[in-house]
Amino acid sequence: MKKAVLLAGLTLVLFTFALPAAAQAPEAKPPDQVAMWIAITSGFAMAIASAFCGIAQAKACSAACEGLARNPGAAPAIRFSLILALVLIESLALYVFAIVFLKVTY
Amino acid sequence: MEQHPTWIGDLVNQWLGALVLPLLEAIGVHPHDPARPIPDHIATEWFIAVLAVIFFLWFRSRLSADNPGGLQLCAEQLLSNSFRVGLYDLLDEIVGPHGRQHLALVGSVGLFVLFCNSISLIPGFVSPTAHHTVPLGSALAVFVYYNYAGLRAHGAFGYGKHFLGPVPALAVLMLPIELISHAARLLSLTVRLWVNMVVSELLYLTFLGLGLFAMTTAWEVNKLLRSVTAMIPSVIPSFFDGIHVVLGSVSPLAPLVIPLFFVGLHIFVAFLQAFVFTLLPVVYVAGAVAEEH
Repeated sequence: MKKAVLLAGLTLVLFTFALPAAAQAPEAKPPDQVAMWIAITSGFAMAIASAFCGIAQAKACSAACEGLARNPGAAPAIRFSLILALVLIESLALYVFAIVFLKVTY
Repeated sequence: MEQHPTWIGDLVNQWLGALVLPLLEAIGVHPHDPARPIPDHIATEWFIAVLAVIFFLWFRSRLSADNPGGLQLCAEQLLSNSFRVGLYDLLDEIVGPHGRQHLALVGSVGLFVLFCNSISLIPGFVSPTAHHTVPLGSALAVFVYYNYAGLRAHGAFGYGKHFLGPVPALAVLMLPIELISHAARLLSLTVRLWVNMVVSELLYLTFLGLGLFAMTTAWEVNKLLRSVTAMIPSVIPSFFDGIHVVLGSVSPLAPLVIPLFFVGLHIFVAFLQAFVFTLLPVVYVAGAVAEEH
C-alpha cells in the first residue's frame, strides 16, 4: 500500500515537471533577405536528401527482391531486414525535413 | 505550429488547471494562457497513459491459462507471433538468453508510442508524438534504461570498456566516436519518430481538407451534371431514366476518394514507427548487455 502511494506521488511530480518542456521563449525573426535564402537553400537541401534517400532505398529493395527470389524460405528474415533498412534510410531524409520544418518561416 | 484546441485539452485544464498553475509558477514557468496551463499534447498524453493503465489492470485480472478469451489471444500475438516480430521473439533473438527481463520497458514504451501515434486517427485528437517533447521523453527513457541495463550487467568499469573498442591501441580514437554515436542514438530516435508523425499527419490533414473543399465545390458541379444528363434522349428509356439522379448523388463524394490513400499511409506510418521504436531499444539493450566471448 505504501509503495502504491509512493508511486502515485512520484508520478504526479514527474507529470508536473514534464510541463516546463512545453514553454519556449519566442525566437527573433531573421531579416527578410536571410529568411529568403533560408527558404531557398532548405528547398535544395530537401531535394538532394530525398534524391539520395530514393537511390539508397531502391538499392535495398532490389537486393531484398533478389534474395527473396533466390531463397523464398528465408522470406521472414529478408522482409524484416528490408523493413528495418528502409526505415533507417528514410529517417536520414527526415532529418533534413526537420531543418525545413524548424527554420523556414518565409 | 499552432495547435487547434482539443476537447481533451479543455477537459483536463478544467479539472487540473487550477492545481497545476501554482506548481508551475513555483518552478518559474509562466504559461501563455493562465486558464489553460496544460498544453494539448500533454493532456492527450496523460489521457492515453491513464486509460492504458486502467485497461491493462482490468485485463490482467481477466487473464486465464485454461480459458483464454478472444482479447487474450490477440494480446498473446503481441508477444509471440508467426511473423517472429512479437516482443518475446525480438528479445530472445536479439538480446539472447536473459532477454525477457527487459520486456517491461520495451513493451511499455512501444505500446505507449503506438497508442500516441494512432490516436490522431480519431477526429478531435492530436498525436502527442507530433510535438517534439513527447518523442524526446520516450527516447530519454530508453537511453537511461539501456545504459542502466549495461551498468547492471557489467559494472561501471566493465561497461566503460565497451566504449573503448576492441583493441586497446585504438582506445583514444574510439572513445569520442562511441560517445558521439550514443548521443546520436538519442537524437535519431527522437527526430525519426517526431518528424514521421508530423509529416504523415500533415499530409493526411491537408488532403482531407482539400477533399472537403472539393466536395463543397462539387455540389455546384452536381447541379450542372443533373441538368445535362437529364437531357439524354430516352432511346432506351428504362436504362437512362434515373441516371441524372444517380450521377448527382455520387459525384459530390468523388473528391473524398483521394484522401483515403493518405489516411491509409498515416495508419501504416504510425504502426511502422511504433514497431521501429520497439525494435531499436531492443538492439541497444542487446549491445549494452552483450557478453564478449
